[in-house]
Amino acid sequence: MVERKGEKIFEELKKKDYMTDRYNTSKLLEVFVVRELAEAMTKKHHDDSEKVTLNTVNPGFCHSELLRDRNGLQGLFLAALKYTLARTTEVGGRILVAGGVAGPESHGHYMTICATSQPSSFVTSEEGNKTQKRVYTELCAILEQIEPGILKNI
Amino acid sequence: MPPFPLSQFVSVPMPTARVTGQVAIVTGSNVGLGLEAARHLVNMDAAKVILAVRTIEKGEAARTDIETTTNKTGIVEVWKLDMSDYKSVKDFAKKCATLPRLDIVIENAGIATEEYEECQGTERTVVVNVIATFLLALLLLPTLRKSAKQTSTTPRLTIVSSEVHAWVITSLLDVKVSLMR
Repeated sequence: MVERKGEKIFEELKKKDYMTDRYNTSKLLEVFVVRELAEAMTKKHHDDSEKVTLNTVNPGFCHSELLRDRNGLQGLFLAALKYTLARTTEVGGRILVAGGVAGPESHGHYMTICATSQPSSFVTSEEGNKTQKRVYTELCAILEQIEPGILKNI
Repeated sequence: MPPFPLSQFVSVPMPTARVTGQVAIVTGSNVGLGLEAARHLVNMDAAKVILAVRTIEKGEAARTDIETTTNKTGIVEVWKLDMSDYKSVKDFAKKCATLPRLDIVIENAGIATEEYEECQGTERTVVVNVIATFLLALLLLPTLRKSAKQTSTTPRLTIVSSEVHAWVITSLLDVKVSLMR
């Protein structure tokens, strides 16, 4: 996620550089925002009767159509990897549903295979934490532009 | 939990929870993990499972598939949602506000591409996977809270991220290949 070196991360993401890292970066941004947004929701001290659990799930490597467009060497490599490692799509579905039925203790957490787990070491590093806060602040400003007043929903 | 790739060999239990009477939304559910998640929710006795999809025809095919395999009709609905268009996200959220209750939202829709293309003035992976994902999340929060209050339950909003969040380039010297969901 080289874009964090720039002044504004979402502006850097408008550049064509590092597109090979883009999907991974988008998934990292999701982990960051879930952590930060969950904390913001908690800090609002909503009444217990109005609490919502926000979590994020990692389905691992599953057979899916996500990488259907990859071909050539990368496609071959992927096919080999899928053959040896990937879970079936049905099992992947179970992992998603585990997030959808998880209890309040999963709020703000990253879940791997139906249990809360640790996100990457970058996420929990000091620099990761700084980046997380920048990403969240920038995203909030973008969302407010798309839908004025939306931040009140937090 | 063992680290990847050992984590790939941990067995994943069949869901045993029941979601009787609950209403669920799964985005990007015409194929893949989203479709399978929706099928599980039908089997888990959900009252309504909404397939939020970009192409209605594909969603209808998914609905038929779920109805055939679960032998349950009248549960699955197909609603239009285009995550590359903020107006579509807003329209979808407005329609969700009319639901009698909302218990589960699984935001699964996403794209993986290395080709740079823009929509909404920004690169499309960022729009679909990040901006629209949290636009929808925030727009649905009031509906989820209302449902919580009315049904005395805690609704869940789940964002599908990935193992690969750990594979980002954190220094220019790293060389990594993106290959997983």
